[in-house]
Amino acid sequence: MLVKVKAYAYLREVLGGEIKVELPEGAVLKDLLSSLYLPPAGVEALIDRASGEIKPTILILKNGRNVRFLEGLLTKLEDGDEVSIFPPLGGG
Amino acid sequence: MIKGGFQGKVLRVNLTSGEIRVEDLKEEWAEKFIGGRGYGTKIMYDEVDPTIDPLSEKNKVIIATGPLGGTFAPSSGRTMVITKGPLTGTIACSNAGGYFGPALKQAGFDLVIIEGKAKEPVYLWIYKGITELRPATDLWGKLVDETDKLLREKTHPQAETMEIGPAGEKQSLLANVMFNGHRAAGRTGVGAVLGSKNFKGIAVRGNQEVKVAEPEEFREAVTKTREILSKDAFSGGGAAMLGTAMLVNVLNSIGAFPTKNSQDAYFPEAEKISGETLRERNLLRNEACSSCPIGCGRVTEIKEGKYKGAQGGGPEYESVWSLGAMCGISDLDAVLMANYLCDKYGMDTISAGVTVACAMELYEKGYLPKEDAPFPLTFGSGEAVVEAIKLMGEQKEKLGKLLAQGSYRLAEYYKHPELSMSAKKQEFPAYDPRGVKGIGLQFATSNRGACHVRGYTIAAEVLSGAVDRLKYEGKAELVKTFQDLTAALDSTGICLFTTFGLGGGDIALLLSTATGFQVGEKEFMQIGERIWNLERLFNLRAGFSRKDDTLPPRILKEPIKSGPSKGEIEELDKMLADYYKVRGWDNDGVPGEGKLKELELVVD
Ligand code: SF4
Repeated sequence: MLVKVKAYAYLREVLGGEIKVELPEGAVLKDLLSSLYLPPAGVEALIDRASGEIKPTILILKNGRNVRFLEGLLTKLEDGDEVSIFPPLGGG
Repeated sequence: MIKGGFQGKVLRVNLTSGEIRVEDLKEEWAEKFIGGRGYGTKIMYDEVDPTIDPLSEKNKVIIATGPLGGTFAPSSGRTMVITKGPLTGTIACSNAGGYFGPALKQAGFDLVIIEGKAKEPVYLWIYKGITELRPATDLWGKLVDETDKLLREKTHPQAETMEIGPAGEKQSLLANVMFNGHRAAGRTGVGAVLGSKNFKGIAVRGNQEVKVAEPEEFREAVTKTREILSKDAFSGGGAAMLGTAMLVNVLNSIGAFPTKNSQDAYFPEAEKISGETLRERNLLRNEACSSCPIGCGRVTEIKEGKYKGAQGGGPEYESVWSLGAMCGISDLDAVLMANYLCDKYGMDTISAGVTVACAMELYEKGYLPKEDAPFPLTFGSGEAVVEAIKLMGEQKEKLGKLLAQGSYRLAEYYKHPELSMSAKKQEFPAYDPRGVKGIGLQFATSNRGACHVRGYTIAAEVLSGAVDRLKYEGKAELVKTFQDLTAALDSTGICLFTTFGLGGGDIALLLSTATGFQVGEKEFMQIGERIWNLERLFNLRAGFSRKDDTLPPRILKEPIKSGPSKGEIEELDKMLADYYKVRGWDNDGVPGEGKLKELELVVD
């Protein structure tokens, strides 16, 4: 299946602006974020090495929903899904 | 007792008589309301009848700094403008960054109260404690940036300035008050009140130091807070990289980015007006306010096309949205041009853009007849937005005059007030409540009409993602907490953006060590609650009630058509009763006696 990954702000520089990733059926977010599919520097920017969790300041959306309110790293992905990744945010 | 932070002096300027008096700051008020928004609201509550016409001589305008203004506290350049707002008829407080507030402190004053009405246009010159009202007949009619320059020419090359533009002079309800030519106290029409008083602006310069109560402890608190801000990924770098426009892609990605007068909440072309694109195409340099390590401001330039060469401050996220997506515009150059023009005329970019969007929908639906429109007001036309802003700023033709009154009065005139995306007649900012539930409750209950910076729940509902944006539970408490925190913060003189890194406790520490007040986090939040309730009391006396705590029918009934929040509506009723309860108010939204006693607010 094909999943679209969009990165924003400075993460664009490490992940590329928009990439399409081919994943095996049944893959979850964790699989996508592994360095098999994303550049290692990008993975480094997103994942806390000690805990293996998504860094608390990184916002990841699947089709507009914060994955924290889905199943976090175990959020299931389907063909055509769009995953958006934002660095720490603020402003108003 | 006040031992520092404040200068202890208030300047009262009566424009009718020309008299200028120096008064002592009231210590008891400062302890209960701090400075800035809190102290200013207390003056309004005690001195101004809430039922007056905001554009009458009886209204007053308070220009206020807080005790942290002019110190080394981070991001401490804010100036607050408090009055009865003509757009909403509510108590109004708008605030701006820059350097004016600190300069006012250095000139020896915490606040300036402007009252009465001058016979001829005047401006105020404050220099090392000397104050003088001077004729401004030759400044009347001048654009904001010209006025800024001329004021400095007439006074001192390093003076800091506050000014209104032609919009304020002509009493447009969208008129703002500008500082240093491009920092805006944007909302609620505060500029019109100064215009109604024939008051063009202030130039100020001083050299008095702002002393703090406990210099050693204060220095430590400053070091600590600056360290937190520099480590925080947003305030320590993210903010400077993209400015607030970074939010375009965020809000669009969750489908809460109001589009074409909120007919939808997803804008397929958002990337073209995003912070990322702006940085690539137009950014000249970053800019920071007084003593600010965050530096979210920016100066931009249009590099090609028919507006080539135009430059200005901003745009902020809100402006990119209101003059862009809300009008269906993806032409970033047109958005920039419209933004610069708003600044020149001295108009609030949020309300201006949303009013044009409203006109576009009225036009496309045939409610605004072709003969009233000097050009086609079609969604997506960048040129239409730029031209409409010019009409609005100059109040030319019938349409220009109508636009200058804001979207509610415009839509009411054409018999479709439901098409105004506003609360208490003030236009919405850039967040669709259907896709972020708590912010809708904030818009509905905000004491100055729809507003995001009275209670920025977006921080928790979207940015940190601490709570689920689509749930209703817990939002009443969340809104109250943000509202109280901001009310207190706006009274200290530091910028709201510090709260992305700092908590109430950190700010209370800065405040305590600067002033000598014994304020912990709990007391700080209670001061905020006190201010919020005082504002509410003002509004209740002005005639507002529960029925005004609402949102346009579109937000309550029409589901979002496309994007990630498709199908959502805002069920305000699920939160409002809760909110009143959390606030200790009755079912009509009136603060109970117990609450007022607890907050030491005496009612008459
Ligand atoms: S964060 Fe931005 S608006 Fe706030 S004080 Fe700093 S530069 Fe000014």
